[in-house]
Amino acid sequence: MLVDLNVPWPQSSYMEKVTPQAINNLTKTLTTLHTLGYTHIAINFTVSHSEKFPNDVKMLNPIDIKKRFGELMARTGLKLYSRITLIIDDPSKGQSLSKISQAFDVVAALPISEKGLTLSTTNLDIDLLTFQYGSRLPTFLKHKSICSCVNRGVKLEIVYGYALRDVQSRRQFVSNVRSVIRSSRFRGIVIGSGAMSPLECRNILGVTSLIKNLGLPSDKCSKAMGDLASLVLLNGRLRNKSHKQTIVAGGGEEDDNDVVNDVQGIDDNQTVKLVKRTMDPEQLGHAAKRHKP
Amino acid sequence: MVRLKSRYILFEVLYPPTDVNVEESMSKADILLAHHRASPADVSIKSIIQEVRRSLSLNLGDYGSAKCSSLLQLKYFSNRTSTGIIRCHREDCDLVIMALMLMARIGDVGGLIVNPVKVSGTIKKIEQFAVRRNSKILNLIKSSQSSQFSDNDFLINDLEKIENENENEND
Repeated sequence: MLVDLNVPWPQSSYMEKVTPQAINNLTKTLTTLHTLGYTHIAINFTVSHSEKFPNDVKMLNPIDIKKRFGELMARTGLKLYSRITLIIDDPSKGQSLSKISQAFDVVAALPISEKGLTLSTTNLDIDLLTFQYGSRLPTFLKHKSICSCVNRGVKLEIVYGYALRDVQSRRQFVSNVRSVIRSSRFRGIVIGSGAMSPLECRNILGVTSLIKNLGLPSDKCSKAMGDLASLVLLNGRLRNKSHKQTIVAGGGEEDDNDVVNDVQGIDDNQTVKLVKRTMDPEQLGHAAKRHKP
Repeated sequence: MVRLKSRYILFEVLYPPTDVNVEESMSKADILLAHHRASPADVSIKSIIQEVRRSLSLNLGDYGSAKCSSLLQLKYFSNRTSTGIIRCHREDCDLVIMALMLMARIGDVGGLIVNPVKVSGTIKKIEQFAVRRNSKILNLIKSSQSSQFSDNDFLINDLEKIENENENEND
């Protein structure tokens, strides 16, 4: 399985309208990603944290995957997920995440100030931490804050789409990626495309060699687009639909209890299944060490 | 005596549909067909190798491009199937793949993705892989459409030809 956690949704606030042309462009990007071998794709809605969110939970998610891409999913076997990325500038203006996270599969934070970075590495209940790789990072990344964030289970995202745009953003991309890799000590890194158009999609071989040349060991590179990224999707789904992240009811085939690679997804209407997550020390990292008897 | 170690990279040129409207009802085969198209005549062995060198010097500078160019060679490219094989030095294989990935156009032809598919140590294995892969894709398309394609036979013939040439060289 191959996962792309970042395909931008053509809307930057709730006020904007989505044009059919933009949807068509997104569909083309999805089909290209499918041709390149991706199986799981998250559509990313980026919005400012201080924005006014609609009160109704149903209005929170504008993507509406089932209605818009249901047929595409059925025909190609792609699995699509929704993701929200909150641009965090001033923490005092933000609001609680509990309601927002109900409506999306994955919740990510994009800090653009030092305060925002402190908040998102310590307190926020998120799955992913990402940065604007096309411009300067908000502050110098420290081992301590990033590693503690990774130990909490939050993954760091690298978006390779910036490397394919203009010279300036590519230059900034290289230096930013190097500092993210350094500060995380090679742990908990996932890779997403951030492809605005079909031409910005690349397959795993190319992306792996790019990130490998930027200093990430090659075994971590291939994991970053497969295992670790699917773990992010799993975490997101379990947040809403499980009891304490261990037991989930509903969904899937009867004798298939692999939730990570689940093609059906967790759906309330399907046959009930109970899944207990195993304590795999590789995936849990430091948490497993603490729990050892 | 240690032999010169090289790597062969199989790549394909994809043309994602940018102008036409994508219908929701596109099947798997339609999507594959829309991406895999024959390359125009402007995309030739000469223009590709030029573009690879340009991409290498743009992204890696004088040092990187000079390092890679010692053994860089385009062994095969077919306009009809848009597939090709590049030979490079074993140590610089990653840099060449990176250069291929960062390419956005070949000569004057834009709107394409250069997609590295497979890396192998011998040209024989990579040819076998290319043939296998092509027939797999063709089966996918054929299973949903009844029309006949002869591209695979074309590729097999071509590859047999270069294989023979290689053997002649070795003799």
